[in-house]
Amino acid sequence: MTKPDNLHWSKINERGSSIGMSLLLFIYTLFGKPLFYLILLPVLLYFYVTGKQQRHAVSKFQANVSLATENRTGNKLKLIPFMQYFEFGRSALDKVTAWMGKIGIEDITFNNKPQMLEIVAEQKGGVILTSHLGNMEVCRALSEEVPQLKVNALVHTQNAVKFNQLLQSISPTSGINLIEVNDMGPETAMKLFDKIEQGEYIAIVGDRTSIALHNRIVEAEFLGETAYFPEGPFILASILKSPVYFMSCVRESKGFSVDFIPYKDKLILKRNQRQESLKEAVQDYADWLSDLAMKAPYQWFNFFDIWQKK
Amino acid sequence: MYLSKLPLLKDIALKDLELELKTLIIETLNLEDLTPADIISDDALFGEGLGLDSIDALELGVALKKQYNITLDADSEETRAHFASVSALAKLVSSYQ
Repeated sequence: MTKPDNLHWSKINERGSSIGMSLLLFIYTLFGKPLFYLILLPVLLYFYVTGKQQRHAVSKFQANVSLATENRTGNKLKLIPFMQYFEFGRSALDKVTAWMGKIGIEDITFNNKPQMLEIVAEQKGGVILTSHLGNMEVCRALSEEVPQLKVNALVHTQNAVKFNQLLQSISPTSGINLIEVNDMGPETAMKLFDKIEQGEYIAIVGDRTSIALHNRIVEAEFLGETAYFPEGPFILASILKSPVYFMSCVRESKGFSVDFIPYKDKLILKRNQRQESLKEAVQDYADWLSDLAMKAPYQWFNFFDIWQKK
Repeated sequence: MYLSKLPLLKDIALKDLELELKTLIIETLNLEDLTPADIISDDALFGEGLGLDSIDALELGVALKKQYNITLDADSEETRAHFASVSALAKLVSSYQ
């Protein structure tokens, strides 16, 4: 089943991610931005030329997002495949600078800040569904300003944890706690529920299927074609019986733009109509993500084909 | 005389707890067509037996946490043993009371 050209993303992503990021960080801290880009470009070109599967995935995404944009606005969107890689490299740099504390609150436009502050003050906790569009790491700058916002991010891979340790060594204070989830059992659900009862938030990405969090998928319309989303994050959101939010952080020509959107007070998946309610929630998420993708197409950092059934 | 009655009292308490847990399971998982009497304490909750699935296990975990403030170590083997049947769950809960 796993032909070399049909790998699960969690396998693909291991391609040099952890070592590569440490190297980039090293270069950036030592030589600064210009040289960072100088070294980054050939690296990105290398990935662009050698990663056939990713290149195809990028072309397909760009074709779909441009068609969806044309259908909505009537305007054609001309996208350059390599730009997807370039943005990805830039987001790596943003991650590093964010962790070094160089991206401050003044660089972030917070679209519904008063509402978020009100929500956080209620201390109800909740589940924040995010995505691989944009750069959530930049949001750590928010923790300076909203210290009560305690976020626990669920990650699937050991790689992410290693990268986190590396970054933690640069910036030990942060409002974000990573939880590695290999096996989603009752004990994990209980632990996460405990966090929510203390008014904390659980952040989880909703656009990648994972082996740990139920490898089951839900179909939803995304940019005009049926795509496959993981059911795990949505089931988790429902089980934790807490408010659910969609959150994004997208790079703009100047700085970043953050959205924190209340989705539901409780995501209820009735046992006898679980699949139907699940499908509805995933479709809402996919619609939100479609809008984001049309707004910032180059910041779609999923280098796999979301429309292909794994 | 009195000492010999103690295990019996404990058994009664466990039986009460089992009934309580059966009601909790039915309410948490919306098993509207079942009554506590339909659930046999020693039968498997998951797979064969009552036929609950992994999502039900998560729901149940959260409900137990809420009701009895139970915390489990992140050891899935141990959890599986605790969640095997109503009687196993009752023993777990009683150790928290």
